[in-house]
Amino acid sequence: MGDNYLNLRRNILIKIIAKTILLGLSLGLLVASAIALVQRLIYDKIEFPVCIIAGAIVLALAGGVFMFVNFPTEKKLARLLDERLALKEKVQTMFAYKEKSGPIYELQREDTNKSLIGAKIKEFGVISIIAFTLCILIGVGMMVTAIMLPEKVVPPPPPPATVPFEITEIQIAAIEELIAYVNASEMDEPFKANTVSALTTMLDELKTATSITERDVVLDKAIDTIYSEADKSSSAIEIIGELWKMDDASVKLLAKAINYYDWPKLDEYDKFIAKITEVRASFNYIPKDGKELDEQKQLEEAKKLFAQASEKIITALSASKISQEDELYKVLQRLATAKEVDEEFGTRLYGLQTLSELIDQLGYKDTQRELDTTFTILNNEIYNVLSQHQENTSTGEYAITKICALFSYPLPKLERPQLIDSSADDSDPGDGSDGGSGAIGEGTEYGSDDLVYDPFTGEYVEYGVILDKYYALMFGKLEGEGYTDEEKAALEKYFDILYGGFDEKNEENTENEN
Amino acid sequence: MSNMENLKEIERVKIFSEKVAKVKSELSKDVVGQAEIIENVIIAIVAGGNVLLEGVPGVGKTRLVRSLGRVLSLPFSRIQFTPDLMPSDVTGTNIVEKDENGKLNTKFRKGPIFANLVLADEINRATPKTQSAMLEVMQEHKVTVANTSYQIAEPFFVLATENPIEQDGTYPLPEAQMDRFMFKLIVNFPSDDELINIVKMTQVTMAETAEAVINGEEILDMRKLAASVPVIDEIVSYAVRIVSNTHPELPASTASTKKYVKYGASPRAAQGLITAAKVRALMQGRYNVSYEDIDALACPVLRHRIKINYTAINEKLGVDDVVSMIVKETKKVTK
Repeated sequence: MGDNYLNLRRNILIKIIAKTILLGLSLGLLVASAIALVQRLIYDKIEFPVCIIAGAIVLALAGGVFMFVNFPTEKKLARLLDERLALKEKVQTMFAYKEKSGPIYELQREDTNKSLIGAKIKEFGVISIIAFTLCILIGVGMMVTAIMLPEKVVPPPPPPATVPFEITEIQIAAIEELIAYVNASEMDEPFKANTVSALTTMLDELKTATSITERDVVLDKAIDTIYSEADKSSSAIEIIGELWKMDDASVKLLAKAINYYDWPKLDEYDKFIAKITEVRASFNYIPKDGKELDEQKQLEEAKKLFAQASEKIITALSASKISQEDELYKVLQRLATAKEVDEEFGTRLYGLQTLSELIDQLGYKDTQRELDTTFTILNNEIYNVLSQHQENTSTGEYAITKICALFSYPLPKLERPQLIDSSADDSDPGDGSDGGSGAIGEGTEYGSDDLVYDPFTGEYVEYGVILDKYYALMFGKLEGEGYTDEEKAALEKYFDILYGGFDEKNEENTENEN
Repeated sequence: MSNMENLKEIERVKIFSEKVAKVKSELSKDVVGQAEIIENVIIAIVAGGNVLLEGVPGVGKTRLVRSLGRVLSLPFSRIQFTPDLMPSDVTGTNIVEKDENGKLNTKFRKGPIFANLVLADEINRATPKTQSAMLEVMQEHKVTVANTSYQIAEPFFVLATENPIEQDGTYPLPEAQMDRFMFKLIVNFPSDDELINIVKMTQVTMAETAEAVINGEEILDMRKLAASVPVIDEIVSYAVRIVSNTHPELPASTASTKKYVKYGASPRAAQGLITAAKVRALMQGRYNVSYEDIDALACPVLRHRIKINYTAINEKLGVDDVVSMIVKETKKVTK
């Protein structure tokens, strides 16, 4: 093949590649722009990656098909040259007889190559140029239109309708009645005063409020204040939490006891008493082997147990960050420090400075007896404090509920302390060695072989003996003190458990009932 | 082939068109106009084909053939075909003659057909029997008389003329006879300018002045050269398809064929097309056959080989019109 032919072939190939690229680009741009415009018109935003991918696919497909159809094979090229240059089949003949030799063939080739000198193939016709230009212009136009189209005007949300508000005479009267109720309540000061103040301010502001929006602001503020006061007036949650964290069985039992005293349910009192009794019992020291006890040794052990519990209680109180003026704080501090106990119950405790000293002076049995008495008093103290807490919280909650009902306002969630999961504590049945209640253990009867202290006789007896005495006492009390049937049933069930040993299933049911 | 021989060959190819030009030039001295007829006659002569010239009296058919005989420097004979012309008047016959010893012997006396260039004037006036005497010699270039064949010297051509108007006492050429002619050329009445030139020329002299510029050997050499011109398969297929498409009975034939053609051309038409196209290409100074050659030669090759039906006649279509339609339709399908 002559150089002329090779040059032409190269030029045609380049032009076809250029045409392929131009075709692909123009069609790709057209499709991408169309998609962009449609997206803009329908969704008001352009997903450029989608447009680019679609354009690239069209580019590849259109270019690929065009190249496949128009790729200049030798035969196609020969035909193309003959047609475009009007060479009367010279190039086709040259290729068909390229293997032949002879003068006529040489002349034919020479003639063909001569015809190809300076020949130029005009690959881009006017129609092609117009089509490409048109495609590109339309594509650019659509893309610019898509980008420049003003965003759809979304009408601004209408201003909230101002709903007029005017407090009614009935509402004023109801709020005044509520203020009087709080004033008459046994709520602690200064919580009561603060609550009354919040209600009075609320009433004044409501009288001047002209819209529901203003009303809601006033109500929100009042409810927040009252809720805050109710919350501050009860320190049980914080103290229980810190006591529970202490790694001491007696202290945990104490936390559980306080926790059982659920504010809105005063009938939880029996569970509270049971737990406090356990706390008390945890300070007994009972040798496991059941031998004659050495009183001095018992004293030392009891002192040790109590000292440990005292330390933990003090630590927990400090960590709770509750004011030292808090009544529950004071009571528990008195329990932990014999000094406070001494001041409170001076004659009973013989004027001694600390419980440790008391134990040292009295001897083991007397100490246990005094502790019983002290705990009885402390029970009443804690009961009183927690009752006051209940009163504070209930009054606050009542006020909030009343306000919400009065103005058809959504009632906020009023949080109450959750019961500590008793299974976490009771899962350890105990064996008496940890100074616990001994109620549940490994003994042949009633869970333990250890002797326990009998506060009625001051002697150490088997667990069953003392249990009978407690049961008789409890039974007598049940008959004479006007307990409800439900309370009686709960106490009897408790003793059944003590007599029958720990029944996990039964325990679960009991917990669930609680 | 050595380089020297190669160069010689190339030179031979190159002078082909020069020789053709000389022939044309000499012929134009005696024949005014008719350039296409002259060119086609030359093509047929180089290709080794016979030509049937059709035209009204006085348009220069006989003069052309006669001048051609002079230019070609070949033995020329003219046979005036008449109804009483016998085959032996054409081919020759055995005669009885005495030798030196007075003994009687038979001797073949060659007829006028024994020439290189034969003018069969008004061939359709002879009876079919006489016409058929031409079949063998036109196709095989030999004459058989009394079981003896006589070879005609090459190159051999028959250039026949016929008058399309005067049909009384004529015998139309049979299809087999027609098929022996490579071309049928229509000699049209000259244009005014050409007629003026003819009149002017004949006022000076009626003598034919064309001189011999080419001999039989050179013609054979040119024929051989033309045969070597390359032609691509696509063009051969095209020529074959044109011929096939003249047959209305074939399913692939064109719509025009089915409508206007009674019967189609023989395979000799395809052979003639390609052979003539090669010569035409060389005459044009080209060394390959083009579609254009086939298109140009389609009418001369096919017009006497196909017969149009009454539909065509009714629509006032000539055979050339139908051939052109077939070529056009074939080209549309092929390209």
